[in-house]
Amino acid sequence: MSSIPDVSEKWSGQVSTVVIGATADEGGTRGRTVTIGGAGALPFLAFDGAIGNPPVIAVEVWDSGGQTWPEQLRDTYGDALAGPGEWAKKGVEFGADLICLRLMGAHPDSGDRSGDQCAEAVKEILGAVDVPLIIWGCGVDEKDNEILPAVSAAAKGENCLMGTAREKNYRTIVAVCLADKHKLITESPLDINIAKQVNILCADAGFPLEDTVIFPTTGALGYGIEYVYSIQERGRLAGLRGDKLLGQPVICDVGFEAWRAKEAKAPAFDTVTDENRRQWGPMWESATAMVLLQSGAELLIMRDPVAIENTKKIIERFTPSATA
Amino acid sequence: MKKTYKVLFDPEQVEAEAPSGTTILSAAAKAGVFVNSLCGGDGVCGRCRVIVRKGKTSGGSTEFFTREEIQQGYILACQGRIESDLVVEIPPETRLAAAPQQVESEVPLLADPSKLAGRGIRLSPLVRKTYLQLSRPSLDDNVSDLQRLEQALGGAIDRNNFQMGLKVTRRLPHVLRKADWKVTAVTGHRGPLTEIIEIEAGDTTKRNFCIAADIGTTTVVCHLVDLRDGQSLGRAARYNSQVAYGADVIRRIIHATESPENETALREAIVSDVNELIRELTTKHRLSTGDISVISAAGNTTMMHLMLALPPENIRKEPYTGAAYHLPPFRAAEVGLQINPRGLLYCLPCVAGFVGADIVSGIYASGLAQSDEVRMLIDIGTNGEIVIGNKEFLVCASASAGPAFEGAECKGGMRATRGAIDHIRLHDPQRVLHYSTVGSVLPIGICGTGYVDLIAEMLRVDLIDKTGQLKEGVASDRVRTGEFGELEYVVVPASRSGKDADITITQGDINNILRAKGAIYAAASVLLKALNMTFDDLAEIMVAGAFGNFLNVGNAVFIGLLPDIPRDRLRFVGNASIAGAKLAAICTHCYDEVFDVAARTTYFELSTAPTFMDEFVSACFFPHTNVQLFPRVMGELELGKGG
Repeated sequence: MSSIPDVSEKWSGQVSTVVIGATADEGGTRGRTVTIGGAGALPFLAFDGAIGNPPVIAVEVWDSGGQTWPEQLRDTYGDALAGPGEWAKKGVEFGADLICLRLMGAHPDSGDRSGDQCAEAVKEILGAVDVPLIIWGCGVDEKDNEILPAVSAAAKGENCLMGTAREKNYRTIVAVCLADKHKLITESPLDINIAKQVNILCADAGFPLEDTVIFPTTGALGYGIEYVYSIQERGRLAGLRGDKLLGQPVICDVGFEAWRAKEAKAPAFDTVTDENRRQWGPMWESATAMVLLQSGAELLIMRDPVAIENTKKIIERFTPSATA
Repeated sequence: MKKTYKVLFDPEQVEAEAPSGTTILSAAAKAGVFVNSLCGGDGVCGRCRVIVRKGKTSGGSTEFFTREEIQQGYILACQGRIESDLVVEIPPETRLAAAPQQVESEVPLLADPSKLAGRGIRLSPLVRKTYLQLSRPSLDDNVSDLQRLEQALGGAIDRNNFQMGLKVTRRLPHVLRKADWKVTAVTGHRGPLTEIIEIEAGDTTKRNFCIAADIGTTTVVCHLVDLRDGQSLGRAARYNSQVAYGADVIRRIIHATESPENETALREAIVSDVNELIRELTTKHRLSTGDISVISAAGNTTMMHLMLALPPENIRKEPYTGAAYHLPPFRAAEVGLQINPRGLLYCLPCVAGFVGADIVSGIYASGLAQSDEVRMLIDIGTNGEIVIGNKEFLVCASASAGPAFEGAECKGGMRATRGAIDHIRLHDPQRVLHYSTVGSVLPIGICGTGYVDLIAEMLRVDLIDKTGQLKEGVASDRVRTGEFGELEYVVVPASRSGKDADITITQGDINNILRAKGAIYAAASVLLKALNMTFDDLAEIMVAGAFGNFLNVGNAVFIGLLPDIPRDRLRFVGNASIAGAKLAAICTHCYDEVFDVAARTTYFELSTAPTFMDEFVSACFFPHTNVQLFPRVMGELELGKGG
C-alpha cells in the first residue's frame, strides 16, 4: 500500500512579525499590544506551514469630519462622532483590536487643521482607550510632512503604526518614526514593484524593514477587488518565496473603501426594500474584508459593527487553532 | 648632474628619459604621449590623472583623488616628480580628450583588423574604380566601344554581366577617344549584374570615396571612407532636423501623413541633413562631392521611408507594415543626395516596421549573426533595440526609450561634440571631483555617456534616491529650485563653464533617463523570458549606440541600464549601425550577407507581451526594484555606506 504523497507547499520565506503598541512596562500606556504577521504559508492553510498571528481589526476614527460619513454609519455611531475620544471608545465597544486615527481634518480641503490640533486628537484617543493606535495622515504630501512630526511626538513611546510613506514622500515620516520609535506603513498604488520600491527607499533611509507594514491600496467589492486581490496575492507569494522586500504584513483600508461604494448606501429600489436596505452596507464591508483576508491581509481597518462581527467570526472559523 | 631615469608609458609602450625631479607631464610631452591637461601644469584642473604602476615619485597625490585611488597609485602628472625608473599608465579618462580626431573616426568594432579578416571581410567595395588602357580599334579588331570596354573590364575585375545606362553609353565613344583610350570605369554592385555607372577620362582611381550613414530618429552620423583601403577618414554628426516635426517616429509619421507638403518637408529635412554632413566631410578633407561614388545607409524603417519618400503611414498602424524593407541600389541623385551625380545609394535592409536597417547593420557588424554562442546586442538610440541570437537564430525587440541618451530632451543635454561632458566623477554631493569634455575645452553641456556617469555618481554620493528623486538639503549650494519650480542640480556653475549659464541636470532629466534605461532593461528582460533564458545564459552582451564616446560600462550597470553580470561579459561596441554600413560599403560579400541577416531576424512584438509593463515599472528604479538582480551594485552601495 502506498502512502498518500505529501503535497504541501514548502515556503522559504516568512512574513515578518510586527508588534504595535506599548504597555506601561514597555514605556507606553496601552493595556495590551497587538502582534501581526508571522505567517509561513498562505492565509489559513495551516497544513502548509505556520499561519502566524490571526488577522486583527482596527476601527477607523477621524479627528474631525464625522458628519460627512454615510447616514447609516452616523446613526450607528451617534453622538460619538463628535470627538475622537468618544469615537474611539465606541470603536473599542464594537470590538476594535486597535484604533486607526485618520487625520482627515488636516486635509487642506476639509479643515486644514494644524499639527498641534492633530496632536490633541492623538492625545485624546490615547487617554480615552487603551488599545494600540494607528495614525494615518491626510494623504497630502506637504501637509503630512507638517503635521506628522507633531502627532508622532504626541504619541512618543506608544509604539504606534504610522502612515503613510509613499514613493515621492517618505523622508519626513521615516525620520519621525525612527526618532519616536513608531512602526511604519509603506503605501503603493496597487503596484507590486512600487510596493517594493517604497520599502527599499525606506530601508535606504534607515528604517528597519521588519518594522514596516505594507499598504498596497485597497479597493472594495465591485470596485476592482479582483485586481487588489491579485496584487496582494502576488506580493504575498513573493514574500513567502523569500523576497525580503515583500515579506511584511499587509494592512487594508476596508471600511473607507466599502462605504464609498454606492451599493453600500443604496436607496430602496427593486428588490432592495426599506427593510433590507440597511444590510447592504455591512454586507458590502464584510464581503470586502473576507476577500482581502484570503489574499493575505493581516490588519483590516473597518467601520460597521456588524461587518466587524462577521469578519471576526470568519477569522475564528478559518483559524485552525480555534477549531481544533 | 642630475640622475636620468626611464619612464615607460602604458598603454602606448613609449619610453622617455628624464632627469630626476622632472614632472611626469613634461616627460610625457617629450615622449609625445598625450596626457589631458587644461591648466597646463598648474595642478588645478585635475585632468592629468595617471597611475604610477612601478617606481617612486614625489608629490601629485592631491585632493582630486579618493583614498582608494591614491592607494591604486593615482597622481597628477603635472605635480608628480620622477624619482626613479617608472611605469606610468595613462588611464582612459586622461587619454580620451585627445582622442576625438583619431579614435572617433573608427568605431571600436572595426578597430581590430585581425578579427575582420577572420569573417571573410576583404576589400571589395560596392562601387569600384578600375583604370583601363584599352587597345585602339583597328580593322582587325573593330568590336563596339562598349564591347571593347567590357572585355577589358571583365578581365580586370573578373565579372561579366555588365549593364550600362543609356546616358553613359551615349557619351562613351566621345570619352574613350578624348581620353586616348585611357579611362577609369566606375562599376557598381547590383547582385549578379555589374553596372558600369560612369566612364571617366584618365585615372581617377585615387578618388573613390564612400559615405556610410547612420540615420537615426534623433542623430544622423556619417563617416567618410576611402574605398581604396577601407579606412574611415573622418566622421560628422548632427541632430536630425526632423525633430522639429516630432521627437519620435510615430509623431513624424502622423505629421508626414497629414499632407504631401508635410511629407516633402520631412524628406527634405533628412536629405539636407545628410547633404550637410557630406559637405562638411568633403570640405574638411578637400574632396569634391563628385569624389563620393557611393552612400551606404542604415537607418530605422521610418527614417528610410521618409528619406526615400515611401509612404510611411502603415508602419504605425496594426499590423505595422512598411512599404518596402529590401531595396535595390538607387541613383543617389534621384533621392536628392549630393554626391557624384551617377553615384549609388545602397540602403541596407529592414526587418519590420520597428526593426530597421540600423539594427540589422549592427547585428552584422557586431558579429552576432556569426556567433557560435548566444549573445545579446543592445542598441541604445531613441528606440532601444535588443537582439538575442547566434548563427542559428536571431530575435529582435524594440522599445521606445526616448532620446535622453543622445543628449536630447534634457536641459543640459547635447551630442558628444566639443564641450560635451562625456565623463564625470563626484567627490561628494558638494563637489565635482573631475570631468572630461570632448575636445578638452570648457564644458557647455552633457552628452549620453556623461549622463550615465552623472546619474551613477549622484547615486553613489546619495544626491538622488533610487527613484531618482533629488534630495534637498544634501547639497544646499548645488541643489536648487530652477525654472518652472523644478528641482535641479548644478553640475558646473556658469563661472567655470564655456557658456553664460550653469550646466544643470533637472529632476525631469533624471526621470527621462530613468524611463529610458527602464525601457531598455525591461525589453531585454521580456525578450529573454520569451526565450526562456536569463542574462546568465548569454556569453556576452554587446552595447551599441550613438553615445559618441566611450560608455563607462560599470556605471551603465550601476544605474541598471545594463544587467549586473561579470564585467568581462559586457562590451561597448560603439556605433554598430555605422560600422555595418561601412562594412557593407567596402565589402560586397558583407553587403549580401547583411540581407541574409535581415531575412533571418525574427521580430518580437513587445506591445503584445503582457509582462512588459510590469517589467518596465520594475526597471524604473536605480538599479532595479529586484535588487537581488544587481548583487555587485548592492555590494558597492553597502560598502559605500560602511566607509
